[in-house]
Amino acid sequence: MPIWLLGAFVVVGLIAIWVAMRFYGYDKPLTLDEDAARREFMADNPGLEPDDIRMAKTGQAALVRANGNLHVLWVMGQDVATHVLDAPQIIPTNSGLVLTLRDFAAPRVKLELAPDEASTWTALIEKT
Amino acid sequence: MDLTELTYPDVVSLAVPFFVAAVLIEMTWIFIAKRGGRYETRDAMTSLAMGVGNVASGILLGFVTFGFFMWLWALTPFDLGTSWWVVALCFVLDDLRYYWVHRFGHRVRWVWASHVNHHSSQHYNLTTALRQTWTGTFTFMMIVRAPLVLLGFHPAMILFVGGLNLIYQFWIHTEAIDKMPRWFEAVMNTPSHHRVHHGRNPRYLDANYAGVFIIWDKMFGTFVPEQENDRPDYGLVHNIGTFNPLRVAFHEWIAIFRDWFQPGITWRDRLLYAVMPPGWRHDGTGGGSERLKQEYVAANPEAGGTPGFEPHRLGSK
Repeated sequence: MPIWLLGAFVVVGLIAIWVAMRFYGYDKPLTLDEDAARREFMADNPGLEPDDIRMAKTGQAALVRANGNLHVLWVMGQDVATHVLDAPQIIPTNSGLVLTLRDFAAPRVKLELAPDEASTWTALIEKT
Repeated sequence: MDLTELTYPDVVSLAVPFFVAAVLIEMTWIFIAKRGGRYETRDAMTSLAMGVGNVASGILLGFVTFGFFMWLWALTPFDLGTSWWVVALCFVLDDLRYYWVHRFGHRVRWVWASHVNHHSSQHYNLTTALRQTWTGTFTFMMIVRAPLVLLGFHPAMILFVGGLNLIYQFWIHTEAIDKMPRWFEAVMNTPSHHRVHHGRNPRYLDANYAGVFIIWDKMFGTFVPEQENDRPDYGLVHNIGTFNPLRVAFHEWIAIFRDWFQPGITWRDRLLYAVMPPGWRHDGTGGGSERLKQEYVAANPEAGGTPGFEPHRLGSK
């Protein structure tokens, strides 16, 4: 197959799939409650059990204390990711906080937080 | 027979329209039936970007593998020709080769660094099949195909059957199909068997490496059947938090280099960081799949001895 034809198939295919996913509503993010956050955290960190969970009001993130460490949990699409916090850089934004992590895969985590939450979360994270 | 001009169709490129159509059909089925899997826009687009990058890396770096094979072809005195039975035998033997490369891909971190991206989606649908590596050339796993060339299978034929193998594996990345007929499940790799392979449940770690024929897992003791009471939870044991294809493609390579350059470790440790299974740490703080299985059975003793938790999988004798 000529490379231009392969390229055309790929471009048209990607656009068609993206449009279909938007039409079907496959871009709605997950919203968590505390029980769901606990389950997701334990699934992503085998052997660790949360001692304390602080949910963001948006249901899109949580701070999780487990085994003496503070972890951040955040929604990625319809799933979550978690990361232990080890003195991250904290950058305030208009919509919450950005945390910079020492991780090539996830160097920045954007957290949507209410203004009163942002200050509380900052204080908690700064203790790590 | 002069086979220097032997060519076969580029079946993977020819299959691209089929891949696109099948993805659209699967996601529409899930939308209508409200079952049979999940789609998420950014996850799926990341998978597709990885697929495009895989094709691009093949165009850019394919000459390395093909050049290596042609060098071997010039050395070997054997030539099995191009009969249909030779192609069929090549397909079966190349699937055995695939089993071992795939097993190395989960048990040797250097190879895992390339393969990890395929498991980095928390979804399991047809786009996951296309979440392919960009860095396979750097694993040097083309060496595992060397015996096929030296036995007299032409390199073009080997790459052709490898393409067929890849196409076969596309359709098994789905939750829309539950089980195939029993005879088929017994011999062939199926959606059910491969869901197990993508599960991060302790029971399912390091199982079902097959490409086309599941018999290899049954022969070499790595087969675990899908359990009704333990549905696969897809993704990595600890998921990466990104949809960025560049980070998906390179994160484990970067992790290896960071481990190499940490102070206070020996050259032996550095070697082991590349060749030991994922999760290994020089100070003993890491934990591979055996440890995760052991800890699960310790917390759930009733699971001991059930599929995926047999003694030989727990690292005990």
